[in-house]
Amino acid sequence: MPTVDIDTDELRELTGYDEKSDEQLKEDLFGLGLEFEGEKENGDLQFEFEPDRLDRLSVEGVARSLRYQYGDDRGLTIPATNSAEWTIRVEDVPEQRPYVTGAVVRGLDLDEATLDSLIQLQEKLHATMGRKRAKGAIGVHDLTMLKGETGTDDDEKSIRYTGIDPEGDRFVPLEGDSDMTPAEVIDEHHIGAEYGHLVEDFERVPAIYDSIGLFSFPPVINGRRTEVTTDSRDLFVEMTGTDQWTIDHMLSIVCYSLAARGGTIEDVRIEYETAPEEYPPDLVRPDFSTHTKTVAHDRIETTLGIDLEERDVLDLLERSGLEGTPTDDGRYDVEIPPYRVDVLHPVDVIDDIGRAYGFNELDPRYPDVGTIGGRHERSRLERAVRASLVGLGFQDLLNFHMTDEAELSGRMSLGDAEDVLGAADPARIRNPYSEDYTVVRSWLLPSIMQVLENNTHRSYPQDLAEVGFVAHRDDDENTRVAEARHVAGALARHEVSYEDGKARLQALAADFGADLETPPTEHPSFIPRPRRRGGPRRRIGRRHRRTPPRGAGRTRPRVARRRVRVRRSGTAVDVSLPIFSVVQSTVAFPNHGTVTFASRSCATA
Amino acid sequence: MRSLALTEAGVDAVAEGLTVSTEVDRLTSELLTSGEWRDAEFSEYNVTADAGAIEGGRDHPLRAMAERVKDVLVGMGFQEMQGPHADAEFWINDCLFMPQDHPARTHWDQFALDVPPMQELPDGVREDVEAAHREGVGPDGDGYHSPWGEEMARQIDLRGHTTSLSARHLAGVAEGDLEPPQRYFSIEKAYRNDEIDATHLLEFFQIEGWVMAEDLSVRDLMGTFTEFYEQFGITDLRFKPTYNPYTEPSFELFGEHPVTGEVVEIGNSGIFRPEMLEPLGVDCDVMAWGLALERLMMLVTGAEDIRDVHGTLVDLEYLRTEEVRY
Repeated sequence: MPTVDIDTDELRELTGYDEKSDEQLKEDLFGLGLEFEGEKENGDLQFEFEPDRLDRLSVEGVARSLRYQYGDDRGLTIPATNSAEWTIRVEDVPEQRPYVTGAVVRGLDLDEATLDSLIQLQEKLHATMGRKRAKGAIGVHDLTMLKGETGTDDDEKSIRYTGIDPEGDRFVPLEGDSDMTPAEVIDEHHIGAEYGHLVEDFERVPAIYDSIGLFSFPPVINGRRTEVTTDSRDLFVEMTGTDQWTIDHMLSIVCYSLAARGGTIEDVRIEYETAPEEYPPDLVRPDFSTHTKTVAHDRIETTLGIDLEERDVLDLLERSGLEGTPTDDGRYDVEIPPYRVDVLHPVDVIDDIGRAYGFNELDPRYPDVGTIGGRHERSRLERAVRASLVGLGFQDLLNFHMTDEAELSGRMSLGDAEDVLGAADPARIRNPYSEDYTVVRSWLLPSIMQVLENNTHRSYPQDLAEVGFVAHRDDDENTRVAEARHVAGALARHEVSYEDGKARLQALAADFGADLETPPTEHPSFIPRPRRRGGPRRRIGRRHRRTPPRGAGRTRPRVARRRVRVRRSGTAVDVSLPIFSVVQSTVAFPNHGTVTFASRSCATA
Repeated sequence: MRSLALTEAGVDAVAEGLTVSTEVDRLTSELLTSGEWRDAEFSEYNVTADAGAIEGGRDHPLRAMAERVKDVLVGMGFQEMQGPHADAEFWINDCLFMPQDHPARTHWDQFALDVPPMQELPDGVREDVEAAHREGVGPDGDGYHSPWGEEMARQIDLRGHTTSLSARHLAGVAEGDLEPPQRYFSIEKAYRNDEIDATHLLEFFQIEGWVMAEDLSVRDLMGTFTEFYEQFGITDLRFKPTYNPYTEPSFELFGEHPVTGEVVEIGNSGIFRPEMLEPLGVDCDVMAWGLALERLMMLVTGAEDIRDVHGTLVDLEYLRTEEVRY
């Protein structure tokens, strides 16, 4: 969530409420949706605010909203503008950043606080609407330091937005003391390091000229010549970007703020060689035109769940800084001011009406809508399996689905093994946040092993089981990932045998009417079967190999035994762990057809 | 061979003469069938002493909490949803009217998977979603002034919220076209690239719910949540108007933590925007909400750190001793 820093003295001055305490202001601001976050070192209060209301990125916009809330301002406010003296000529501009807009603001009395507020607004607009300057970047200049290029008419002054070779010209950037080329700014200036990437691939970089020469290198940095100080009275505000609508609206927000500081707004003409789509070649900016949304009265009533008179609606609109005109057919044409970039649809107007009315004034009511509730079959099956496992004495686990490959395969000794449980290619995260979470787990046992490892200081036996999500990469799936639910368990005791695990697996299979087969198998995580000639073990193995092949309604588990040395805090505990994990277990329900654990959906045959 | 030494008192006792008798400390079937139990002398049990410890299996406390929430929602008439964890951004973000250049749609906030893009986006819905982003919906709707490309929409992510399941259900691709009224819910994992701390994990259970009906109001939404949270003893629910790209009006829900007394956000809710519903082919109202199961758990049990509750770092002692809730 974005934040805004507010000097409460400024806020008192701009709202005209000298007597309001900080506490009262905090409460009033909460009503607007600005949540107090903390106090800054310089005494400013920091608030979190909703990222749609970009007109509240500075104290001036917040003060305007408060004045509407207090009822001191009503309806639309559009600042007056004087006619244009300055022109921005667009010539041979880089095609990746073709658009520009601008305004002149005169008669400002900038003190430190006002200047700070302007800088904050600029930075916050860059971060939000400007998409870190990629979509729109703001340059504010001291107008008296600009010398217009004169055209045929002597009164006419212009600056030129164009593109130049990165090494084609020099200027002294802000926070610099010698002249540099744009290429040098990108390589050597700290602001260049931050924003240079936006233009470093451009053959020609954006540049703004007056008759003295190059004075700005948008979107990276302005020149020092036109730097704004507390002595500046008249400002030239220009914005460049990739979308005309976006920079025009960023400009409106800045102009509203400067108008609130007593500035007089003066139009600027924009002369394009190639105008943006749907725009004429000559624009006059700032564009303070309003747009209109048509809102039906009954829609306002149904959304808020209350009855309203027409005059109530008109009043609530005015208190939101909007202006409504009733139509003959029970609607309102509502005018939206240019700083409201968040109003896309009539529902946004209804939300404003609700806020002005006070959502907290509404009484909750339970909707009179009848529906039948129920659980998904898969979720019922999971619950039943979990209940069986708990009945068999297992502690139910709930582990993360994300893990890292070392846990998934390395620590499970999978090596290059293929076609064994756990060896499926996992779905990898493209930009992992932490090296502990780089893949989605493809089997459950590693999670259980981690819990065992982290709990060697706790008493044994530790009988653990999980019914949970696993996935692996599968390009044949529409989502490229095959998802499934598996069941796995481990018995960690001082003494334990294969039969202890098998008995529990057998009981689980029996609970769900599933046939269980446990043919001998090799798996790199488990201790290999003895290879002695003769002897009882081999006979068991042979017998298992003669068991019939798997068929529908059969379970194919892998069961084996593994000795694991678990170390923690310098102590070593030896535990034998017969581990079972049901793979692709097809469990037959006597009365419900067949339910497959391992497929994403619960297919009912 | 065992040997034992007698104390002086023992020697005295032996000198005074011993009587031999048999005491029974457990019943056997022989004792019962032979009738010997009638004459047997039973040893005395110390019934007040603790018996030996026994560890049974138990449900994971967070799972038990999820089960409880499912019970409540089913009781309120909600049907359960399910669907893919790895899904196209189309279902996760684009259907939710999140502009493609929204700051939350970078790898800083979500987990993109290193797999090829989704094979197919649904015909018709895809075009309508793109049109909503570009031009808005309705006679005087506006779209975003942001680029929209199918390439980004096909990218596969771990879902950042389970609202992707709601989008799939509303679009009719999950269970066919739905006619109002409907109530649906899910309690499933969502994945977010966040700083891990006491209240944030990279994956958490999101309780997702929505109601579809003709003419739903903000009051219906508030009434539904008031009823829901009352089931968990949370009666001081507060609604704060907020902003979500896909709902309007929107509300954050706050409740008081029983131990710290802190007011914590426990959910986010609203009425789905027409820019979300119309491309999915829904022409009535849908109100929806999402909240983290872990947050609800913290409010209900007073737990202060979710890392203790969820994941492989869990302490077995906690799983074995946490009071069972129902």
